[in-house]
Amino acid sequence: MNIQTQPQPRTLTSVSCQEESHYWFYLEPYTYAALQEDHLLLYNTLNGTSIEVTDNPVVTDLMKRVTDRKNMLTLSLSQADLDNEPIGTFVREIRRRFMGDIIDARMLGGKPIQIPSDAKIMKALEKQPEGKIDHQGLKIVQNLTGLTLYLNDSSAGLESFREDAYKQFSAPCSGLPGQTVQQLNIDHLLPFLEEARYGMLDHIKILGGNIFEYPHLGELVEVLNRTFPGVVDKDYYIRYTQLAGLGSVDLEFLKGNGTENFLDIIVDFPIQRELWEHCLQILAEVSVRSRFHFVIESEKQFKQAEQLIDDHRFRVYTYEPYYNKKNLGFFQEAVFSDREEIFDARPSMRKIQARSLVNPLRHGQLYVMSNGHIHAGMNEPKIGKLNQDSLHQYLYNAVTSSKSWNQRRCDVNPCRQCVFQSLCPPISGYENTLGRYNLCHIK
Amino acid sequence: MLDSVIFETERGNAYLHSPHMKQLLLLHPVLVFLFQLRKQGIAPDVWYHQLEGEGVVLDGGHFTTREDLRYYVNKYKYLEAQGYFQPVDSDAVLSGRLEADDIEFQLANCRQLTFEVTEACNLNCHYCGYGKFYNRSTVRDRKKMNWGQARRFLDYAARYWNSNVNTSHNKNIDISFYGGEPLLNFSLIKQVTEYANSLEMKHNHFTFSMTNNGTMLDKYMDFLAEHKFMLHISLDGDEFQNGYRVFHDGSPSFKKIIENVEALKKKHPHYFEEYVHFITVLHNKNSVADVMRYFKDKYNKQALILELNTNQIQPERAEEFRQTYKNFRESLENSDQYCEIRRDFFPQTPEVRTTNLFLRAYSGNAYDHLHQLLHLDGKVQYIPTATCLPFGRRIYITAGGSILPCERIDYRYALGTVDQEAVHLDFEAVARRYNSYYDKLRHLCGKCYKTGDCGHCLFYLPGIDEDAKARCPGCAGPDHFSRIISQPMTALEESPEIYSMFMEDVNIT
Repeated sequence: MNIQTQPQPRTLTSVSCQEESHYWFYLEPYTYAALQEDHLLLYNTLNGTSIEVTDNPVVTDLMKRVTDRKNMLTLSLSQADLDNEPIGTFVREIRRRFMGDIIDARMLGGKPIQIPSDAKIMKALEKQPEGKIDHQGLKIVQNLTGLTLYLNDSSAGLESFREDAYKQFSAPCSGLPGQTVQQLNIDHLLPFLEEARYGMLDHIKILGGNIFEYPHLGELVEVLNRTFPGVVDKDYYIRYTQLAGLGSVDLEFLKGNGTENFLDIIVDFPIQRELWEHCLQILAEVSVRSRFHFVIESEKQFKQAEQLIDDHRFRVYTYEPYYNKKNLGFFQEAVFSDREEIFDARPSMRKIQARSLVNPLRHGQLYVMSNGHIHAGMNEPKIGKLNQDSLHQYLYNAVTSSKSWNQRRCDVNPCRQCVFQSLCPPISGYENTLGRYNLCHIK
Repeated sequence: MLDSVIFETERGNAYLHSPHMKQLLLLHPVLVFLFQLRKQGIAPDVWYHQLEGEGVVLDGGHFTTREDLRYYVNKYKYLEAQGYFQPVDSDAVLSGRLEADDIEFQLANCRQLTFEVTEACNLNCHYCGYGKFYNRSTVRDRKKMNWGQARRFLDYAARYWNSNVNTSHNKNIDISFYGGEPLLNFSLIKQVTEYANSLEMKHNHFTFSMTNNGTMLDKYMDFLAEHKFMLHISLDGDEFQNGYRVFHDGSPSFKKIIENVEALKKKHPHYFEEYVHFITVLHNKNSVADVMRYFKDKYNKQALILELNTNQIQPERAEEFRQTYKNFRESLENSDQYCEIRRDFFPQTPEVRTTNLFLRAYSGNAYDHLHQLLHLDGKVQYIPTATCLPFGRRIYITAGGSILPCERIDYRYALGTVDQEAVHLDFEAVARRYNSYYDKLRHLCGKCYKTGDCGHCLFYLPGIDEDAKARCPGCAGPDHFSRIISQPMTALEESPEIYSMFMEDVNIT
């Protein structure tokens, strides 16, 4: 293509008056468009800018047509369309944010296209009925990315701990008072772990009860280090009150060569000072990689946790908000997202694609309880029991029927009517516990 | 390093292919101009600030105002900052290597086990892959596989299939019988079928398939129907079109085949409808249109149409081969009934298939598995060429006991053997061998823009087995690549419904 500078160029008017102009209007493939009745959201996945339009039927109708798959993000607009004020302003905004453009049709040879950014899984198993899964290349064990093992449901050291916290985040789980402590059957667990070796595991979380009361802990640690060396994190969870009852020698196993072992310490409030100090003393005596997880139920506890983090210069920690059925106000204040936070997270097109297909936060996670029950999510019924079937079968059950793995915001109210549904984080355990799916200030 | 390229469709619309961003973008003509300026070493914003006058007239006589130019200079800089013009280090992307564990994994998860039950054939087809046109390293002397070899390999493979290394669930493994004409060794087919069905499988079940010439179906159709063999009958169309498929005395096979097919259809109508398919070889006695019509009208089926293999042609037979050979796309496009055929068989047309492959490779939105979308952002390492991983698709056992990854490659590439004593397969050695091929090809493939949808098997590349450098006929520089991807983009402009078909119907294995 050659160009020449024009000392005295023709004006645009003199060119366009020869025939009525029309333009190809298009969206860029990196622009995510969501449309719900009279609400339109355009989001530039490259730089996080957005346009929201409400109650403007002319614009929403235009976007319905542009995003219709057969139009491939491209539509013809006349000069008159562009002179129409809602459309003109809208198109100018889109251009200003590089979300799309218009091209004078005379500059092109015919209707162009853009390839929409809809994800396509070439070897999809999901939702194929039983008996129809003779799908070449189907390697179901590779869906396994995370494993949580509850070794026992001992309540020692868990007195006063929140009994259903484990349904909301990684937390110890105690049995019912007065009942015999249930220990995970090691003979059933080991073959299961051997099968899991061929998954795509990123981490294994080991919790109790009290993992240090598990009679086979040494054997299990040895098997985990041997079977999952290198990049698979092994995260051993313990409440600080339980840790305080140990000696530094008990933690030596975390220092295995070539392993990725972490000690994850659950801290809840009010702090039991003496035990807390003892816990810190043990950690000071033994050099293990540790992380603190502060269970927060109120603004006051949040401040207390911040104080502890400052006092002890903790570098690796998380806050774990806990819904105790009485603190919805705290959740609304501290946990609920607003527009700004959603955009600040800058979800990529890839994340949006993933959220439109499954629940990426929970997809791939299996939980083995101390009674051998296997769950794909902590808030849903078991999908199998150790020693009864193969890991392959459990994973097939999870892929095809787990609400936890497959639950998207477009499946639940009120999110299914919200244009932010694929920008928001995936549905969490909190939402299942609360029984509401919009931990946000949007709707 | 692979740079971004701009290509034009037949309509003259320009698009950017960015390997770094894995995306295709429609480009405004001014952006095309700025991109070309940048390639000449002129920064678009510098050019803009030095511009005199009120605007420019681009090629084609379209006036662009100074204000619009400023907009597109800014957009150019925006796209540049996002990485759209950034090259990709193809050497790093193509750095994949195999280890012994990978070979074990592929074997344990294989999709098909093919037994060449006999080298013998009762037909003498003019274009046979083991016939006069081809320069094969092995002599075929009507060897038959024996039951001991077949059973030994089944037992060997079943250990891997039943191990934890097999990560598949309830998936079929297809046991396939190949020849020669496989039905000439029916007793072995029967033994293998019955034995396989007696094996206790943890993760798989067996299905059976066979390609055969149709001349012996009358004797064995009940067995094939009972075991639901996926049957692929070789037939090139009507009597004239099937003229190259003859018995050893030169007599035509057509009537015998049709008699058998009609008998099969009559005796096992449901089986015929569900499990029987036709394979046609394209040559100068038939055409895509003829074949499609013939099978549609006669059996309401669609034949799988294959071109003749163009590799390893005997030089002295090259001219005769050239006259016999017919290209699928040309045959279809030269047909008087092109529009009609295109309408009736649209999803199967080469244009749709090519466009599907293009969308899979270059749209940036197609993922082989969900796992790739969820967890492997930018972490995938590829191996050079489109060569299948050893045993990932198929294990092929020849009648003489050689173990190959495919029936289409020369026997000199055998990876192991099965004999009267045992199976001899060294995973370490297989991995080493493949890695040596990859090392040899990496420099070549690192310069190729078409690695995303390469269609070349390394076992067909000239020089792959020699000390000399390997060569690849498909290696594409940026200009060639631009021309190649222009075609599917043109097809999408003209038939956007292909995109919907891709999203809704297509699965590529």
